[in-house]
Amino acid sequence: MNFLTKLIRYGSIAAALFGVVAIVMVSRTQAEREMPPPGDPPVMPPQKPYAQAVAATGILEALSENVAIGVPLPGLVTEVFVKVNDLVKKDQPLFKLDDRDLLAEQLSTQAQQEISRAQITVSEAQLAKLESQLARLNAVSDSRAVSLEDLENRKLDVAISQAQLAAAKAQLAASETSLKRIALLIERLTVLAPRDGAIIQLNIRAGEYAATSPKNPAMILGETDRLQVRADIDEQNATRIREGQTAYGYLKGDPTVTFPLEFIRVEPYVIPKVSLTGSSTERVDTRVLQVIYSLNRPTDPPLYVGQQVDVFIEAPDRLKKP
Amino acid sequence: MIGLALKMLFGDTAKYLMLVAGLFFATFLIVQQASVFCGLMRWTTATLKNVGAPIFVVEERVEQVNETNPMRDTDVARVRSVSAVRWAMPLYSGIQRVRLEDGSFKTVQLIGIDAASLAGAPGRMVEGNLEDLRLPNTVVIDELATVRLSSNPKDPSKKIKIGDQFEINDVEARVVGICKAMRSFTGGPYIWTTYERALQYTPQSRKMLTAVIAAPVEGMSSEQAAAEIEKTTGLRAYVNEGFGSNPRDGGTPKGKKYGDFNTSTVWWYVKNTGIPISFGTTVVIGFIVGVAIACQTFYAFVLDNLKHLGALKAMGMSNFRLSLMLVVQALTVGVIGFGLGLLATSGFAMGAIENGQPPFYMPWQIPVATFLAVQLICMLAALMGIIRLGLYEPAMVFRA
Amino acid sequence: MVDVRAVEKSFGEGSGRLHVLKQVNLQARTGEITMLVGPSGCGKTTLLSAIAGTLRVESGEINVLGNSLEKMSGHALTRFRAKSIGFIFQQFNLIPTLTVAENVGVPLLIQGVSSGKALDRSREILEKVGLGPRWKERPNKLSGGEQQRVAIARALVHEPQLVICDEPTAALDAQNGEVVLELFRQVARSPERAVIIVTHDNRIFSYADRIARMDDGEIVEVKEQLHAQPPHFIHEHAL
Repeated sequence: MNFLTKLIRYGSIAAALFGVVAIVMVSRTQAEREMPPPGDPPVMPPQKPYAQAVAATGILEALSENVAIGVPLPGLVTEVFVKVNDLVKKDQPLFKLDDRDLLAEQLSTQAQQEISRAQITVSEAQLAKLESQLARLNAVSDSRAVSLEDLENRKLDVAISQAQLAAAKAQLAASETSLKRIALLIERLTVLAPRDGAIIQLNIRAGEYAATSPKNPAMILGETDRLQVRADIDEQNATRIREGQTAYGYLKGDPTVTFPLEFIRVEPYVIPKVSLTGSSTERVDTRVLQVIYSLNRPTDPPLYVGQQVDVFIEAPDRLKKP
Repeated sequence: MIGLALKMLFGDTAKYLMLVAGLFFATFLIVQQASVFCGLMRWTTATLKNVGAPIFVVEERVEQVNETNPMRDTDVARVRSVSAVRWAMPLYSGIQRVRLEDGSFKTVQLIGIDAASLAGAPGRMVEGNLEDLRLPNTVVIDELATVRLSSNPKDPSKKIKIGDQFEINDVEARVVGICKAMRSFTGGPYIWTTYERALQYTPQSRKMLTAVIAAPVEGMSSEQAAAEIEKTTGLRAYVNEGFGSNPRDGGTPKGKKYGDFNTSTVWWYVKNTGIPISFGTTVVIGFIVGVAIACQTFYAFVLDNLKHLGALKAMGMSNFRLSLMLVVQALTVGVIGFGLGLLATSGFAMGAIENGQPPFYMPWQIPVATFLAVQLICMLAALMGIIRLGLYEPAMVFRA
Repeated sequence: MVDVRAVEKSFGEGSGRLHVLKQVNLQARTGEITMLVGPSGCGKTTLLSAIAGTLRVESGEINVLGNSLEKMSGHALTRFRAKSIGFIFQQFNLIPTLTVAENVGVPLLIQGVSSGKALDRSREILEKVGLGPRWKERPNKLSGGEQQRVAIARALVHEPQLVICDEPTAALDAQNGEVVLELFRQVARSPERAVIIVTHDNRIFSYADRIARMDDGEIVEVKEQLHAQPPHFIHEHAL
């Protein structure tokens, strides 16, 4: 048996053995390159606090809703008395609008008042003169000395003068009322806090023009000690919601921050959902039932009005259909 | 006796090589083609491998992972409301165009994941920090993208690095991490970003949510949870456990569908594309060629030796022992040819795995099944020989 | 002791039926060389096959070494062939991929002897036929005469009581044929062994102790040759 035959015989056996080893190696390499099997995400998402729960997304609001402070008239803002985060009492002035046009009107009305006063003085003097002349004529007993006609004329003159005085007085009263009205109008341009609360958003600065559009309130007044969560529940899960169900909130972005929620009310009107993803175009996909929950504002970490919250509401599973 | 059989086999080098070569080609063709086919089919489920979530909830008519039929944003909350679900997160997945610095365009597979939990994030980071994905305008790309998105793919120094920028649909994207990921069927690299940002990168449409990924509560299997989700929400919930049978298969409420997304996706491609036919044909042809070559060569080998085998029969060797000899010979060439075929396949596989191209995935079933197939071929060949030998009367040896 | 009585055998069906053996009777004794001669097609190979147990006959009795072949099962017949009969074929039928010694050992292997022992025994017998030093070679390296000597060694290696030879010299030239046959007579003849040779080569008739002439399926003549002595060229050519 020659060398070549031997080589082929043993070589092929060895190569075949090596082939089996090699394919095992390939299999190993392949397994190493395999993607890891599905598991939990890097940051564990919020654990459901209840065995049976309805999940919803919500947004943090100040309790009893935020008050969007309106502007009485469109106008220039001259002065803002508060800063963001300031706590304000009821009737505390918040900001003032330009009132110079009213002040100008006040000045002219005051001048008018002076004129009216002078007019009264003139009328009184006139009346006194006419009254004294009439008295003198009456003192003359001889009826021939004074004609009857003359006497009648004098009496009429006094009556006219009395009426002129009354008119002048009325004029004065009118200008005083006008002044009061102007003062009231000026007062209205200083906007006061409608109730106690904190300034949570400020959209105007002195010198800006404040419009009366309802979309852009001048400032938002809210209560920040207690917050409320407005949870949007998909209408398909709405039937599972009852009054008084307890709930837990998880701050979006940091599921470790959790807080218990107290039920306040269910909004009776189901509205189209406004996407909360921050997109400029609203995506109206579905209608949502809104449920309001309140919570105490935790100190650490701080929560802010407007943050998104994942809400789990304890609610039994839908009744199984028979 | 076995020694006699092997000596007869190895003694004729030329015929031995012919026999081994036939089986070698059959093995190589079957294993290599089947593995490339498996690799290609696996590519179709790349998103499922790269986004490691136990359950995928999709719109009810979606049959495969590369087909998207977006759902409403609130469906995340609906899935989350199912008792069997431990967590549920939104997922965006879609093909988008990337504009490179030089102005050219490349398509990519964009994946948007929940920013807080990073559920669905790549499993293996090579470089960079996954948490940086929360920074503005950031993305994590896979290793393929470092080459594919570079201005000159052939120049290693031009590879995309951390800190490089490109544009997805005219929105800036900054690379903060590089990860390992499986290739997609469409050939585009994978790019991860947060869900919200993925929506900004994507042209607006009414509904954007591709899928909800979820996990079952502890102590519950994914299948049970998926069934529960389907029952409660009416959406389609698939488990992500890898290709194979699944307890829910066949018994799903939606008729004859599959409970596993991998299986469902692969079947979709099998039913709707010509890929399996072409590869299946090659595998079948490989098998037939193997059978033909092996049987023919072995039969020729038996015929050549018939005179000697007949003499052995006349000299008192029983049919059983003669058959045994043929079986031993057939098995031996079968095993050696199979081993050589595996060697060649390994060479191909090493190259394919190194380059990531062409697709190659060899589940253990392929070599095992091929081994059985090759042994079947050999047994068939041996059987033909045995039948031929059985017809040979020992008396014929005297009629030279 | 081989005893064939009234054996009938035919091939084919209907009008094409060919009556090959017609009421054949034949005896071959141990210690003798019996030659079966006749023109080709006379049925001598068929008779040989029947005696060797590789062919069943239609009627009659074949008694070989005290065994009634027609009563034995196929399996028993196979085992009987392996143990008691040595074969020499016209074309030698050596396996080309085995060495000379391995070829010789095949009947032992068939009986289940271990390959080591078989090889030892083969080499002993190869010495006897004068091919001792060439045991490692392949048969195709050997001349025709040498190959037939290997075949003889193979037929005798397991000490059979009956040796069947089918035209042992047909593939050999005259000189080689005689050398081989002379050698064969020397090593094969033994008091316990019967040898049956089928041949139509009249040059070797002289080596037979008994010649049975066949024609058209019948034994036409049986002739005994006492002291059949070959010419003396064994010493000159064979060794």
